[in-house]
Amino acid sequence: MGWLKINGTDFNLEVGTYSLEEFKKEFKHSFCLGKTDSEIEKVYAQLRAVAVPAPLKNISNELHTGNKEKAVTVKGKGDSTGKGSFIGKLGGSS
Amino acid sequence: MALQLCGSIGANTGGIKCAASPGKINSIAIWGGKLTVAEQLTLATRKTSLVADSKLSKLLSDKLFLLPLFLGKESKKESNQEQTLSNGLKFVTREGLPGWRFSFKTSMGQMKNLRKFNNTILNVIMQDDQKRVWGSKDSNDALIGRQAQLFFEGLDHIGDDGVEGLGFVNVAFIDAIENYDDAAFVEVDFNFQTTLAALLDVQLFEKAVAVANVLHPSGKVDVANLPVPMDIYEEYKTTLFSTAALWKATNLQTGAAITVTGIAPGAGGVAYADLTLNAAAITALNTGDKVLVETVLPTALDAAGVVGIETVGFIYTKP
Repeated sequence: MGWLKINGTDFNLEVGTYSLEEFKKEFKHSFCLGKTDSEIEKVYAQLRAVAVPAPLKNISNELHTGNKEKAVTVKGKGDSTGKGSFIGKLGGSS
Repeated sequence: MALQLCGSIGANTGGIKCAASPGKINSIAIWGGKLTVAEQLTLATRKTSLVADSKLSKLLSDKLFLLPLFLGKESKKESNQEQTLSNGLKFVTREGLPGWRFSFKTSMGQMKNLRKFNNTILNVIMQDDQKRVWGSKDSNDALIGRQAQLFFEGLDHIGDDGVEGLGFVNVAFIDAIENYDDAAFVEVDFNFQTTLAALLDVQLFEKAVAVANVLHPSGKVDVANLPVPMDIYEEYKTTLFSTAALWKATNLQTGAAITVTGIAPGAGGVAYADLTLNAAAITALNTGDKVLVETVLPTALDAAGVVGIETVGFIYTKP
């Protein structure tokens, strides 16, 4: 799925799909040691943002392009830096 | 004019000025691979191919093992076998095979590893003092190594006139055709010793007891100093021990992969990493179950900046 390094720890992005409680349990004896809940939640949020992208319909809505009544085909590809590349076109009848 | 059919067995005998002949051997590499015609095309492709083979895992057939730089070179070529006629005329009936005894600087740890090659037939290539790489050729004109048997003499204590850390290797070639009739070389623009990789075997181990799903690995190299092996943690702290993609874990009971969910250098200045494995998978193990923890192969390690090593994994046992 990919990897994301935050504050010296290289995380498997799969843990970004865990719930916060599962995440805390996973790293109870490593990353979470000595950290406050807010510090942990901040890192978890970063991982989740990369691992669980926003719903596709929001992309079309935000860009105000394409025909919202038609299905949108999007191909995305993430990388280990957390940045995603976007390939494809957004709906539209043009 | 004498009748002859010599052309059917021989060849024209003209010489070419400045054509190459073998120089003094500086380095030898054990190599099971080949340099195809396409790979021979340019200096760059030759270098790329040989360097890549030197970075392969030792478990792969094409692996190139670079031996240390040779200092002294003593020919141990076998004498030709001859038949002497009653009138004293001698004919060569079997050509002597080439052989060498080389000296090189080494250490006990390295010599122990080199001696593992003793008494087996291997393919070797040589680099001479003109940077030519000598070997033999196969039926497709690829450069290949010549078959030889190596014997590394045990490193011993020295007398008053001895040189510390001076090792010796005997190299006996076993095929005259490979050495004389099918001998071939390619020119390269690099020195084996400074460009090819001679990897170190690193034994991964648990430096501290695991806590739940978090293991504490480091790595060590045998330097023959029993209580003080060379620990590589500090050297690779920001690469190998900070990159989760380089690690793998396998449930030895089922063969299933266990996800590596994270890795980081241990906090508080400890000399080991925190390797986090999937908590659910570790929790599900029974007491005594074993997990193989290892890294990816050296080519992938090298690509990630972890150069010069090949690792041997360790087995974690669920308490």
